Amino acid sequence: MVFPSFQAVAPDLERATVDRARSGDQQALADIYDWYMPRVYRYTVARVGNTHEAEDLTEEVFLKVLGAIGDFHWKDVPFSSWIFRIAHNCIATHYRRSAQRGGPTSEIPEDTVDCRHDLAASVEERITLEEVRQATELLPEAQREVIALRFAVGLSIADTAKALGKREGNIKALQHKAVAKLQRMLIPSVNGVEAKAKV
Amino acid sequence: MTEFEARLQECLAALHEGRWSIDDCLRRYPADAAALRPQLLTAQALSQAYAVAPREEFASVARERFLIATGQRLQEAMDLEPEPSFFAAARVRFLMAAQRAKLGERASQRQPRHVPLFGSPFRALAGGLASIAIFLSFSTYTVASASNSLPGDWQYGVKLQTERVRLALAFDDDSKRSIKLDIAEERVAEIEQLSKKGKIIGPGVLDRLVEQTQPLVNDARDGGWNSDDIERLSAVSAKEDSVLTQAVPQISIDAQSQLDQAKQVSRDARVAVAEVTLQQPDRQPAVVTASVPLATPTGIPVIIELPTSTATPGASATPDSAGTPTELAASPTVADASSGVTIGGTSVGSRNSIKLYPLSAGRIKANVPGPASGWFPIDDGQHGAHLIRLSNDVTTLGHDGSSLIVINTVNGDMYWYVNRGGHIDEVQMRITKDGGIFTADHVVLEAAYGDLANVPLYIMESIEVTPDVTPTPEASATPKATAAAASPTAAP
Repeated sequence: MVFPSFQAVAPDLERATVDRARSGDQQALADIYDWYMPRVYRYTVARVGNTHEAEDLTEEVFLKVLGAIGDFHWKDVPFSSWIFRIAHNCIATHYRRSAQRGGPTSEIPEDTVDCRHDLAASVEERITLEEVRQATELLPEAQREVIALRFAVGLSIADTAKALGKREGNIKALQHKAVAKLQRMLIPSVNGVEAKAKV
Repeated sequence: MTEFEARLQECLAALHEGRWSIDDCLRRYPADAAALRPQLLTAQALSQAYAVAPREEFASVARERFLIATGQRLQEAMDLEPEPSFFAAARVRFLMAAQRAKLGERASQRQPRHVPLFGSPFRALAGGLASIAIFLSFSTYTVASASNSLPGDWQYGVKLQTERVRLALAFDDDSKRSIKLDIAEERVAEIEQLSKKGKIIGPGVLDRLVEQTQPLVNDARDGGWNSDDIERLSAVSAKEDSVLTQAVPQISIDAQSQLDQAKQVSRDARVAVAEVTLQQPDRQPAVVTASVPLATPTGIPVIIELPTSTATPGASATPDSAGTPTELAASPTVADASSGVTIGGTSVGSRNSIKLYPLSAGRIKANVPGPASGWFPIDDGQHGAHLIRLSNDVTTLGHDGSSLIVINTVNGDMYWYVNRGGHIDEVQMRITKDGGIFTADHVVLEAAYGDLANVPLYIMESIEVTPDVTPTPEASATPKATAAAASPTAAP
């Protein structure tokens, strides 16, 4: 199975653990860290494409979680959405700081992307993270967010919507457009049949 | 959303949830298969590409940094009275040093954009080690000064924080349990120290004891504990009981409910230990203490075979099927002039369908099962006096549920030996030591032995000892030796 697979945490256990963490239980905080760190890391890697920065950002996300968990309320959003909302904000801040420092932007000219694959010719060939990163950087920011949360983290449409503060229909549309664009860039031809991307 | 988009979403959701494969999707919607396939393959490729795990070095170091941060935050949240400026300044220095190290590390190792995706594994490791070194140099000082601190000391918060970090860093259940037991022992020791120093013990101190002990009790009842940990919990609960009893005068008025709660949890722990220990099929014989370390019985013991509530081969006094007493209402009084023992006469009551009669032996009086099958003195060859038993068949201890009671005729110490599931447990029922009388806990024994414990408990409560006009003789036999003396091998 190639779709994101993480150790499932029973909702009741997650709720009880989060409640304990909110009251300062260090073991509960450690459990939350263990459950979510790999997913947050994947998300940050998917967003920034650089493992060094992803590591720093992952730590930053959890320090913010630590500072804000006392204010978390179940009635607002699921806990996973809440964490990835924090991660989303951290990455937005990261890009803002990077732009202020005059660092490289995330834009890469389309002609530099040379990562086309024909899965019909090489179905076992794996598209690398770098190729995906380069391709996703050509997408609008909103689509990149959705792709990272859906395919790197494995959030549901509903939880993705809550993490990004958007409606589910909006998320579905963004995902559909992003996948169609990426398909054209990454695997334009399958079994000799040109994909009928409906963008 | 178009019909195609809806089907694509349905397929992606099913793929995410593992319900369908891509082929399943295409078979379900053959008309759209050509358009669906590349998009599903794209989604699959994205998930494959993103399936990266953090480097092991980063994961472990980052976790440690996070846990340290949780400790810092908890420390801030603690209501330390008073919070000395020293600690605040030290913490700020630590955080600043850590921040400088982190910034320095970033500045020196920040790579341009073209760095390989999987850079040197030493980068985070070096940074992590630097942070740990700073933390350790800080904690070496604070922990050293805090480890012996007591509630109310300014370092006490550091001590609690260190415990939390230690616990959070433990990876397996056995390690966590061992650390939790360490912490529980520390909480009890703190109360003992406060008590010895004559300090007032407030509700927070007792709350912390309860918070540390209660989860251990629950965990023990869930099973899976090894015998060493069970023994440690037993020791902790016994210590709690004795320390709390000694500390009562120093418990503040507003902490009385916490004291009751702490006593209850301590008792729950003893019950849990008894339940867990005695229900293990391959357990070792247990020694159930009467709240104090083993006291050596002195003087001449009286050994009484206790009839059981279940029919036992060789037992001479058992209830009939209707549960009515098999002893007659009046039993002949028997006496042994050489040992000064008399037993029998009019029944003073019954427990578990077993009639009880007055016993007079040396300085003690008690109510015990009657001599239905007669008794006779024996000389064990060790005490220079007569031991007494009520049955010719002392081998009843070889049967499940049979029991034997040993009473010291000088000070009233009482031990109960019970065969439970093939193991002969030694239960210290009543012990005099240093002018105090310590008795076995009803709740614990009833939890462990059920109705079998009722008669010994009743005997224990009924024991009276006349004042000693002469110095108590020196110890002459241990309880185990006494039990051995009562065993078939020791009997003539």
